[in-house]
Amino acid sequence: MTKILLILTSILLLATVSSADSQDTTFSNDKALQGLKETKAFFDVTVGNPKLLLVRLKLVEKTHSQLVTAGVSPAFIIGVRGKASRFFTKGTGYVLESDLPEKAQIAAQVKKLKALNIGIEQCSIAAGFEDIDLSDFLPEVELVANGYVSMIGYHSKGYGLVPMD
Amino acid sequence: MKQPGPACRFFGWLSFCCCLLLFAAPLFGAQYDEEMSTEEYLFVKGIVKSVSVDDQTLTLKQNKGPAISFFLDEDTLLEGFYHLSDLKPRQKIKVWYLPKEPKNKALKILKPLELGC
Repeated sequence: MTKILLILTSILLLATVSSADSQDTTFSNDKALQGLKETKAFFDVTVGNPKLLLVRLKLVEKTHSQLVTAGVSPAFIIGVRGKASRFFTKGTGYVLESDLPEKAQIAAQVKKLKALNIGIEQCSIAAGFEDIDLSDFLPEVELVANGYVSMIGYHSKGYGLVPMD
Repeated sequence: MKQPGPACRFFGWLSFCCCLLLFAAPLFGAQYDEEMSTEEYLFVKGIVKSVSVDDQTLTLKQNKGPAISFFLDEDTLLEGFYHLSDLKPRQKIKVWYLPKEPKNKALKILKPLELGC
């Protein structure tokens, strides 16, 4: 009897998971992307919680991938400022020991994003406020004088602003 | 000439003391304004690693150095926050302290403004 119950529960669970998967594929952004050949976006990343930050960076990758799948060429810039800045540095400094696993994952994600030709810009003013040595940032990160100026500049060039705080 | 009464003398002295304190207060406040270690105290900055309200202790993680623990007492000056429980992990802080074993005595703890930049 217990075995039958276990099998039934497993079937139900599988059905639920597969239905959730199929739901994901049934949605589209056709209306938004209609007639577009390329898109431009600036992601304003400030979040200081490493778990949340990692999820956000993975979402940027997913968004890029979905646009490519839809036949639209994405031009993305990630602007980093605020407390997020600490997680874009090399080594084990600037964060708590308990956050080091996520910091390593963030560094790996940054490499993946860079490989997709996504620009990653760090505000040097924010770096100063967080007492981060400019030489300590990941090599994939480009330092800019002022993150706000970048945001304004890209926005003026038609980049959609995506806040990620 | 009529001599002032005891109550009048008391209030006179009280006013004098209050004035003295009023002028001296900024000097006490400015005691730890320098963000550097001196012969009298040490200075460190970093992020909050942990806080224990029960033990009145705080551990700070330096940007590129080890963690340092402090204990607070009634003389510890708090700036930018009101209670130890207001401090949360990963928040930036600055601490002026006296080195002691096993924990250092916090003289002043400053939580800088979060500038959002």
